[in-house]
Amino acid sequence: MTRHRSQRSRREIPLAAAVCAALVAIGAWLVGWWIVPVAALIAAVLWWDRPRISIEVMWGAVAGWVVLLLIDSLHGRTWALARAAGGVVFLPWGLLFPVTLLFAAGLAWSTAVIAQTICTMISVRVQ
Amino acid sequence: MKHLRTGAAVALLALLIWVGAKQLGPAPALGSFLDPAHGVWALARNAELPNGASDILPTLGMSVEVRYDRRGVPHIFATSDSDAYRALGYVVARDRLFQLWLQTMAASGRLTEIAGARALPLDREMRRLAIPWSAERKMALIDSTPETLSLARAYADGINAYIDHMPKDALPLEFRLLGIKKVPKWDPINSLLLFNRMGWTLAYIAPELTRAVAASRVGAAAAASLFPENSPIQEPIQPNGRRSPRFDFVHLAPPGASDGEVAQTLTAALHDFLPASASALGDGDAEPRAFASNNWAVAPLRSATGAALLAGDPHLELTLPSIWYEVQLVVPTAKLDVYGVTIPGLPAVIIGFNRDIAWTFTNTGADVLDFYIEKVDDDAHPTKYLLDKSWRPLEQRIERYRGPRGEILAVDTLYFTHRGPMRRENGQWLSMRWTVLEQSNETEGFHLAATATTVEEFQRAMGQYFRSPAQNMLVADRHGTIAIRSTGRFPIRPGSSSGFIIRDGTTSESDWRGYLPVDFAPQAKDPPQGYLASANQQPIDPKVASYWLGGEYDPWRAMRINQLLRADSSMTVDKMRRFQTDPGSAIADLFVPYFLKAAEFLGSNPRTDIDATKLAQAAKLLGEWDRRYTKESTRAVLFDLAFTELVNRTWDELEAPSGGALHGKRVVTPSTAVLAELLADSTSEWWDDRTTPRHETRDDILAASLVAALDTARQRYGDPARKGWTWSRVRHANIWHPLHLGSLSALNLPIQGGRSTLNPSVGAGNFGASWRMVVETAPNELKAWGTYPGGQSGNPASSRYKDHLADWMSGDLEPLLTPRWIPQLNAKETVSRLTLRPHE
Repeated sequence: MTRHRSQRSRREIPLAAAVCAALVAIGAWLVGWWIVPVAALIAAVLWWDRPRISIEVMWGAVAGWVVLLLIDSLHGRTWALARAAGGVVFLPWGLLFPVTLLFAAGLAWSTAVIAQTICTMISVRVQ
Repeated sequence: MKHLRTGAAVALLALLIWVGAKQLGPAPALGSFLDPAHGVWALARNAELPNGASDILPTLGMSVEVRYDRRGVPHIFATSDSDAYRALGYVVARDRLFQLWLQTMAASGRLTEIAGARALPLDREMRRLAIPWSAERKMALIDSTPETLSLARAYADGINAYIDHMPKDALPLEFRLLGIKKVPKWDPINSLLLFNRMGWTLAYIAPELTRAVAASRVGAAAAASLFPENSPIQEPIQPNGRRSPRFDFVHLAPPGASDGEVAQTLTAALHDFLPASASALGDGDAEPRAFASNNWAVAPLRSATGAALLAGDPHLELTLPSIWYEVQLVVPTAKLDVYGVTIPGLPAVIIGFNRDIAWTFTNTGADVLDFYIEKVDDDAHPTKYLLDKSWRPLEQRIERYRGPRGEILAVDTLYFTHRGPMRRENGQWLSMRWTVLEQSNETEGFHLAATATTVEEFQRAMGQYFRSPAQNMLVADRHGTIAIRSTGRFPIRPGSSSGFIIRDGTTSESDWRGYLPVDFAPQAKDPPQGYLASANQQPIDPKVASYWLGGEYDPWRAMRINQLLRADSSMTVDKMRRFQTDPGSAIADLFVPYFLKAAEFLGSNPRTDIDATKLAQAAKLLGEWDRRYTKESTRAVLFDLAFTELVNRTWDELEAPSGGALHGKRVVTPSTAVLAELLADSTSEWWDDRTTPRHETRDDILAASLVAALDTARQRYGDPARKGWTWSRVRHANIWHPLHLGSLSALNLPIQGGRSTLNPSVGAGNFGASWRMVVETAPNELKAWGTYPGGQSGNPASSRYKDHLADWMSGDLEPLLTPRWIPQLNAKETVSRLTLRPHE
């Protein structure tokens, strides 16, 4: 990787993640949880040639859900909810928080990996 | 490596989409559950009351203003009764929607639609006891009572308006867990189903079953002694002029031979007819359910302020959210201004007060259920039953039990005679008559009571409309009058007035002759003693009564209350509050001296099979106890264990025969009052331990129980000098969520109280004071204090989910705010405003 390309990557990292985060946060409000793989797909296709795009997209999805959780926390007692509702699904001590974020992270990362693989294959064939 | 990564990604994505979209067993679909925008997290956004909110309730006549105070209590200001009840339906649904729905499903025998076939026994019980059938008949009666119908419909309108306009994100957690996205509409009949279920909870008492089971073990004469018609300890609700309890102790008939076939057949038939009772009996070693309640009132002459005082604490199964919901309804034009607790689903304030009177209830425990052996035309498929030598048609009803996907799990055909439901059990057709199933209109009674201005008006309203479950209704007014009356339907039976027998169904001579007129019911008004108290003891002294109410009685708490009230002629609100969690125990006061005397006797007359050193040590430890179940007590545990040992060792004759399913378990347990009666007879046959060659006496069993209790206590809680014996570490209240979800429950709560104290704590700690209230009825103003174990909101993320719990545990009460109009509730006290309008 050249110095020039390395600098460009560092600049674009927040952009890919930010686009994914924005899509996830807004999309989740509008349509529901399944926007996570859709947003990851869009971001991964747009930046498929970036080697760490799956990680970037994953962090973007997590950031999108963190924003939504922060909004929830501003309005109510999410900690009490995490303990109560988490306990119902056998997640004590507020583990519902990390599990929620892991769910989004897993969806986004796996979608991005698949999307990137397909894009790479198409690119190779086209060339 | 790349392929491996892609393969892992494909597998992970497939897995996450699968668990995200599909409900797996009891676990919800994770995608919509974890979604921070609309999933479970969204509940946090709806957990707290907004500063201001408004909604459209199209059937309202005029706008209704609701103000929530800092305790989360809605104060509803309306311009008509029906608008007030509309708003009540709305605010209850807003806070307790899942509870409303679940209670209705349970009462209508439709739990299988949630839980599948495993709920079938519970549903069958509700339907075979004809709870839904009866509700439909009562609904037909209400249809012809415009006033009641209007209230029931108004209440339903309020609930349905909330359901219609509820934000998607406010769907309660439990619905999400069950995968239910759409909440069914509320029908007015649901309220009647809940009234009936309350009847099942409080008036499902069949002493004929208990006696028959006992007779099958020890013979009819002994069974009659163990389960007598009247309590052996008398300090009745209707004062009998005595200043102390009367002990009507007699010699108990000794255990005899089993009554054999007849009792066994009867037992089997009744067991199947009453599955819940049967299972409770099968587990005779367990502590009984504690549907106990207390209430008492003090006349102005015995009150420090010169105002009458009233206290009440109904004891029921403790649940989170609570069975109760606090509310105030104010309609100045209709003179309605009532504060109290309602049961979500019932359009009524059940216990509470208005500007003139205050009232509270305890359960009478009367026997209002009888069985009849019927003769039918076709044993397999009956269409007629024999009555007075002619065949009468049977009413039939098909009950279908559906599963979660609407599939039919089971179908039952129910039969009805003119008495009630009939079933074939163990080769016999048995019908039952039960006051709970009969026509009534309690809603109207509560509606009128809410606007009553005197004791007389309250009693007139309840006497006219309240039928079941029969309650000891205590009422005080601001003129200083206090009164109590056992109100409800009490059957007048033919011949022997006892409800202990199963009657011949082929003759109408067996039918009830009617109901006890309300003027003849146990009652008292402004008694010379200056106070009234009821705590599920026998309502009327049998030496005075010309009739039998039957049932299950418990004298101990009444003895303690009367003892406390007698000793103090300058009563205050704070003393009344402290009495509600008083740690004193009348049962300990009576039994502890017997234990100590037995230890002393055995000390000077040692027995080889009882360790004298241990006995002396146990007696010393028990002697150190002040007989108070305080949280700090380190000796109460010894008495509690010794008492359990005593019960087990004394009633060994009532254990099931070997070889059966219940082998080694006691099939029934006589009351603790009968055990006290037995203490007076030191050489009774009942004291003998059948497993030893020698003939034991009372003191042998008491001493052996004490030693065994010491061994158990040491084993479980360690050295008596250590903290392990502390009562707060041993005994807890456990308040479960109705779905039995631990994280939504409040468990292991240390509380003051124990065996037969005014705040009783027995068994698994699932029962207790479900609402505590003290009211001072001064001539110019009523002031009230109260609390209950839980909080107003059913949302576990809400600060109002269990915010009253701390007060409840410590025995504190909070002042109840009763503004006459909106400005009286100042900004500091108001946390939220809700405006309901008929249109935009």
